Amino acid sequence: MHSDEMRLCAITLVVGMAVQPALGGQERSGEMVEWRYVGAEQSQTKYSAVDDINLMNVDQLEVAWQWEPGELPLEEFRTRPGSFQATPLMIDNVVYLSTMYTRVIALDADTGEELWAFDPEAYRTGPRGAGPGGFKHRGVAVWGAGDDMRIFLNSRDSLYALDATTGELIREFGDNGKVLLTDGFPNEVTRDEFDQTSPPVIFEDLVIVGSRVPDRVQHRFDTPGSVQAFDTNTGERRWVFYTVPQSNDAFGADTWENGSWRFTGHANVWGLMSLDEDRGLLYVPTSTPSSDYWGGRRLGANLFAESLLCLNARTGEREWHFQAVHHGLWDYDFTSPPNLMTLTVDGRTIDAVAEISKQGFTYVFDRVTGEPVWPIEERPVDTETDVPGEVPYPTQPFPTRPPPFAQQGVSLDDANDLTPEVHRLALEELRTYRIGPLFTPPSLRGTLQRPRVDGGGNWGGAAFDPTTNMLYLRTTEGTTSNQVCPTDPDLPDVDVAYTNNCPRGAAAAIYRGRAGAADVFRSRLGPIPLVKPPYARLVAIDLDAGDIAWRVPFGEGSALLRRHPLLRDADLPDRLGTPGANGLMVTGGGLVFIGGGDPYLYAFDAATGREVSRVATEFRTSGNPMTYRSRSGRQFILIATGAGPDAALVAFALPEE
Amino acid sequence: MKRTRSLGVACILLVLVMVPAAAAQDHPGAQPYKQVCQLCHGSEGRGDLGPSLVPLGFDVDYVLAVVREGYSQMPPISTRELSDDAVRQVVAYLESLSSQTSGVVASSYDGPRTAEGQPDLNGIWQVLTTAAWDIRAHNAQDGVPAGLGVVEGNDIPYQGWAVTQQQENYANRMTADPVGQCYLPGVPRITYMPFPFRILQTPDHVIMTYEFAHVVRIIYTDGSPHPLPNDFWMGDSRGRWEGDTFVVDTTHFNGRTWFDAAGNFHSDALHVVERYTPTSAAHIDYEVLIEDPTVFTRPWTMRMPLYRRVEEGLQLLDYDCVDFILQSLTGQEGGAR
Repeated sequence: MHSDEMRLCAITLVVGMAVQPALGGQERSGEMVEWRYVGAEQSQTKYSAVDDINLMNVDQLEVAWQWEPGELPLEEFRTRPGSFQATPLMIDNVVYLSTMYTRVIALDADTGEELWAFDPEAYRTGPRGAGPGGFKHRGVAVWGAGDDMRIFLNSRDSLYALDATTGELIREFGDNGKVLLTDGFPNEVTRDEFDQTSPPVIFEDLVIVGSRVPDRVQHRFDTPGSVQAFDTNTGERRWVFYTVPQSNDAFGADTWENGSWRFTGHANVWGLMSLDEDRGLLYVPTSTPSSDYWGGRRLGANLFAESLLCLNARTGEREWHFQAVHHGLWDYDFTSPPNLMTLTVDGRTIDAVAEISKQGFTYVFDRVTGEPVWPIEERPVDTETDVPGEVPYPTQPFPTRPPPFAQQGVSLDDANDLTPEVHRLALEELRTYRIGPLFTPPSLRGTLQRPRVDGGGNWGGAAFDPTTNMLYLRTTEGTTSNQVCPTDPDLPDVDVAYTNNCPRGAAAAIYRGRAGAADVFRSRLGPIPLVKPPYARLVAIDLDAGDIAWRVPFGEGSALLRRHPLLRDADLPDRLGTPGANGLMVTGGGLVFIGGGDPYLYAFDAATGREVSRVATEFRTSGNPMTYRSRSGRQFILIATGAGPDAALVAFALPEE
Repeated sequence: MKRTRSLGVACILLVLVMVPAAAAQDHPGAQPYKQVCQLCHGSEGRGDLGPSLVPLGFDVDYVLAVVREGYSQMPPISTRELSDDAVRQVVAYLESLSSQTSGVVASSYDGPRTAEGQPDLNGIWQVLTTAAWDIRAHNAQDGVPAGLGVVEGNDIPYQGWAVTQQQENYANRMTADPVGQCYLPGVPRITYMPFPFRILQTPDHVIMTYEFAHVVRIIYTDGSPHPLPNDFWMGDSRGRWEGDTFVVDTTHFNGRTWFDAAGNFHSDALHVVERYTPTSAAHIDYEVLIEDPTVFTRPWTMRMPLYRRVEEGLQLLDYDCVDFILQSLTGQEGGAR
């Protein structure tokens, strides 16, 4: 971009400041309405009051503009761009987003014209830190206002501060605009293994980030999950909280038998965190400790893995915590951004936090005290296992309200019955697995777990309408095989005795083609799931009542099923259900917008769950939708679509008059 | 970071128009295959990181769905990288490769037929291979004639653990071979035991009786499906006619049989598809597709000719294996049970 153009946008921005932008919750017709954070607000409502697009006209949506990242696999670094998962922000008529290779882009909110781009050259760190699907990133955060507004980008092992107007590095921040996130970590972590995928939280003059090491890496002395706060001006680290205790006296160390806190890593913080800005309370969802499916080297409950942590945002001190899975063996990470809201339950007003989960539960707490809003009972679970060294935890927490939103556990009655032949094959294959209720331990022959490891609610999270106190979410239904077997000595990155690198374990596909990789089991059903459809649902939960308000199949589902030879003559439902991790938003137009997994953006009636319309996209929708009203007074709905070289940010709007 | 690939596709399409579809490498689908698919699926669809695509076994619609959505480790491929038309060409290319590899089957032989119009296979047949000892190529050993093998490519795609298991079986073959203990040989091993067998066709089933151990297979051709899961030494066989080829689908094995005396093995997930195609009055092309996802990384194929026994007055005689075992155990003459 030429400097003349740059000056021009600076002028535009200054002029823009004159009009006070309205907040999402209190918009007036025609005024610009922003979307300031990836989750709309740091309380993660994913709600916008804008109602220009509503039940009456949503079927007229059309593509207004489209912007393509144009990122390619880079042979010299052996990297490739993965799924395009960013949720953009819109501030002062500029859209900010991150790409798969974690470039930051500023676009004109009305036209999609590129204003500036910043490239941290993250691909130079190589492919190891990225997941098997390639590089991905979910967005950026903004701090300040007016002519001192900064964009913060957490990319791989670094945090960057950029001038929001120009995209230039803020040289006073850290080392010429960048700080290294892994400085002083208790266990060494290489920059090619350390990763950041979810955007930072901004609180006063602090920028707060989580952390991630790929599940694939399963070493003694892997780095523990962390939350860190840096000074927005200097880049100085102000505090750090490790999700695995780091001394024998630290709270929770006694939940790691044989001092296994010393060498156990992960319990990552890879999902989005939330912030109660008035109280300065930070809500942190954490993942499974390493290794995901075998805990023989980390006996005990393993705090603070698979937990919701409430931290003091100023100091990083723990206020309260809740562990949803003790001694996790199912990869049931907490990945969804905690939703903050005010509820009225039995006449009581409660400032609450609700966390939806992969395992299909919604955990609701008083967000100040950590007291469950409805009782959460510790119930005995199956602990029988044939896996050497494993000691499954005897109890797990079960919320009494709201009811589970996902199907949990597997029995032979669940066998897919789309045709008699499919039913026969599904029954035959189901019988080769260990099956049982939620929290049935992994096994050497393979335990079928439902929800899937990527099932239930995932990083896309839930949306909350503060005018109705309804929580909306998409749940991915179906099963995955949880099989563990002795680790092949040739396998890279793994030194635990048992891992899921087996024909029916998740890692076999990840390692495929490398020395030590297990051969992948091929089901005779091919891509047809072992259990009945639908494979995804859209669910509305009335959080005042703690009840499910409605639940409908979501998405037409995979063409792999519709066109499969075994289903050619089957009478399939219109909505088989589209699985996926990305989420949704709810608007003042009475609509829930949701994409993910198939090439459509869907609109549902927020009150009834009726699918109102859908609009086609060239690529499959892959991010969370967001919306704003631009300075010109037009409401846009943006969603990231596609993966790799075939990706686009698509802006929808009503036809211009 | 700008896109240049749509240009590449345009070039491919130009090539499609200009090159006549003669040899496989000149097939219009060969070029897009090489450019996009070959890296994982190997040259000429033979499989590498990804599964073999020959024979393909899926229609264009399904292949389009797989290409666009991806499946398992296969990433989705957009229309910009591979147009729908290019996918159709690739499918046609793979189908041309399939018909080449199973070229023997496309027989022009038109012999005697039954009242129902099917080729008349009634009679006594026998193989002349050494597959019963070892289905792969092997050297001669004491009592074992050398053989070139009957497995296509001579490669049985065992999973890692199964390679070890087969080697263990081989080392212990003298005592561990189930046939050595007179258990039924299973399918397809029964076909290539060095004994004759008779095919008897009726309108709604085909009976195969074997000299070895009085084995009988009743193969229903009435369109009935396999019964609900149950384990059989010989599996459950259902047959159908595809043109002049008799196709037998067999499942529900108990997983305790071997393919040969060399320890080549499978699990109870074995699925066998046999194809009997008459190529002359005295020859049947016998092709067997083996699927067993528990043991193998992909399906694989065996092939050998069956020869009609033409000796006058020939009949199946008696090889009562159990009796021999009893004799060796008791030291008494058999036949007195």
